[in-house]
Amino acid sequence: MAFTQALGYALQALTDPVLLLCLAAGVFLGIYVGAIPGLSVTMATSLLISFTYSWATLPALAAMVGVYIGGVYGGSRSAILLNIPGAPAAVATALEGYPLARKGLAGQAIGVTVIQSVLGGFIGTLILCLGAPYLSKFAMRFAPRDYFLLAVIGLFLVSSLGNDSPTRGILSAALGLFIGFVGLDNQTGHNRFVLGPSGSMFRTYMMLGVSYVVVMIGLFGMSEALIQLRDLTTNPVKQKVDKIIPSWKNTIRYVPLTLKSSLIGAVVGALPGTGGDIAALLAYDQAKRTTKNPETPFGEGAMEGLVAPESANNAAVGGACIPMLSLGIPGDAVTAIMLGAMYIHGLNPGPLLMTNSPDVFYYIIGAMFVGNIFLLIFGFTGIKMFSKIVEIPKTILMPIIILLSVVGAFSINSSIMDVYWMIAFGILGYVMKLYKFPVGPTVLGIILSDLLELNFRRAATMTNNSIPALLADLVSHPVSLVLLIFVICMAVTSSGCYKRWQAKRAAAKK
Amino acid sequence: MSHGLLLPVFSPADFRPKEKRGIMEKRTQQKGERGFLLVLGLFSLICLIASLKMFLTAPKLSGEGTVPALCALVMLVSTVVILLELRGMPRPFEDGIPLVRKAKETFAYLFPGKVGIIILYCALYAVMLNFIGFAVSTFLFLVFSMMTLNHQNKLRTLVISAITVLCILVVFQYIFQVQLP
Repeated sequence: MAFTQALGYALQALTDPVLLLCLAAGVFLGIYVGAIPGLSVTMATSLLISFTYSWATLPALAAMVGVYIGGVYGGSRSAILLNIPGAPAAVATALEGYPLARKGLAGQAIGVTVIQSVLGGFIGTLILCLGAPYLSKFAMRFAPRDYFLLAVIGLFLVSSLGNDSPTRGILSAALGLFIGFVGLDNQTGHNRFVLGPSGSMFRTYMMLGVSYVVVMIGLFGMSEALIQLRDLTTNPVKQKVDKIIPSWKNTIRYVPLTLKSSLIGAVVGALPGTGGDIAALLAYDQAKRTTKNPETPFGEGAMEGLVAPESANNAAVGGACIPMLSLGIPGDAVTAIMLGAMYIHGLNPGPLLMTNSPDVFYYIIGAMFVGNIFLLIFGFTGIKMFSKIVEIPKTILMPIIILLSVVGAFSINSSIMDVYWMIAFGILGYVMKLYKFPVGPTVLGIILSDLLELNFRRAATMTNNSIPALLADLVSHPVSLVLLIFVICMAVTSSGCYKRWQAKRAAAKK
Repeated sequence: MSHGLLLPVFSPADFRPKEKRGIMEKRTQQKGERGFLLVLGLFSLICLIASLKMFLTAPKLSGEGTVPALCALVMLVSTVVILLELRGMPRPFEDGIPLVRKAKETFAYLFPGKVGIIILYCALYAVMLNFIGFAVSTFLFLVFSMMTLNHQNKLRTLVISAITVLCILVVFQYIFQVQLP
């Protein structure tokens, strides 16, 4: 594709007033959603899907990209002011930000996080812009067996990374896959796992399959509100904020660390299953190890400890979009939801996206650049209003979140059954979270169920349903072989037996 | 380098309770966790049987029951593995406590006071939407939920609930043109 054409699509983010408004509103909303402890970007994006269901594709994507960018940054505000990370990606920020706030330097800390988030966001988007087209071209060579393996890899990574027990993640993912199989089989047209008496409303609903947007809203929105209701004792802390804009000298001084941390963020974000939280912690750890003689020691308000995680977690946004746009595999929970939104709008995220819908691909890149400019504007403004919003008690906020979940679930198909299912999945998600089962893999399982099953069946048909022939096919093609080895390695390394063996080996070495 | 050094050795001893293998476990079992896993295990078994039945109607690799059967098998095996992992963790109940008391305590742990009531309100709200319409049922849901969570300042609760309903109607129904229940 010509560079000018790609640039034209990307510039839509800047020239179309409606898209600009949606993006700005998304960033604004994202900052506040991300900042309020208990509200996550994942929750906001899942609710947003249902409200943007009837919108045109680009405005809907603009709002989602905006919420994503704003939300990842927003978590740092409450981390600095209240020592409560608004989002998991701001955990590392709280370690240095809150000590700064206690010294009366909250404004300075907020200023640094805004600048670093914007710089990280730009670098992440640049890496997305350069990396995704090459990965897409490479993925064009993929056969159905490779797509099947890719879906398995995506599920494995989301299941095993970021939670204590990979087995629980795998169980969650398998549960999601199974929920995705309910309804009419898209190849034979037969009913699968459909319950209820013939002709009943329940049976008809199940024939169409459970909407993954409904499951998403239940598992992320409703369940999170219920979890928050278990502890209503947290009282908001009032803070005084001033001297926000950092000096040029300080910004330039941290550029090498910003570049290094952004690179870490983009690479970690691009790995399916990881996200801004892991990227931020890794970058923080790396900064702590490599920074010689920081002005303030780490843990007591070191600026380097703010620069590294904030640039990394926003760079991870661009990184997470690389596998989503080029392979159709989400990088984290938010991109999993965005993937779902793209399917809803009739798009086919994956290697063919750049060929079939280049406007969408380049628009997302453009929107990420412009979104970061909005982040710069909104990041430095409305801090006083922010402190008021953060003070909204949970006793008011949580019923409103539940209400939004109900409205969101109903709006998808204008069906009250969706509301019942959303509540049921909300309760399931609540129980799962209490018992330390990650809910992200369940949602990803539902989204990827079609991709996984369809390609497995295609691959099986191509080898005349012969298991030896399918295995031979997998090991005789280089791409499939590499993916297969990757799957096997992940299965082995995430097993408890392997971890115990590794611990024994490490102990023996000592 | 031999394979023995590269690959983990799987032995039945690995499935012994962790405390017997000398591995310290930080987390303790939570009330009802084992029960939840048993329910998941039962669900997985039902799914597996249903999938195998489906597989037998078209017993081929690309059949409609193959992938669901594999998926249900993964669910079942994972549940068993997690149950085995739980064996090494300290139990939430002392020995000899009657089952009814265990059930009561588990229920109280899962749905402590206000959470249980809010879930009940949600269920009632979903049912009432069909009968008294969106605006009234939403207002009632918000008022009762907020009052349950915080008894103080009833007038403020009424005002906030009314404003919220109004905002939802204006923003979603008129601006976003989202159909409301």
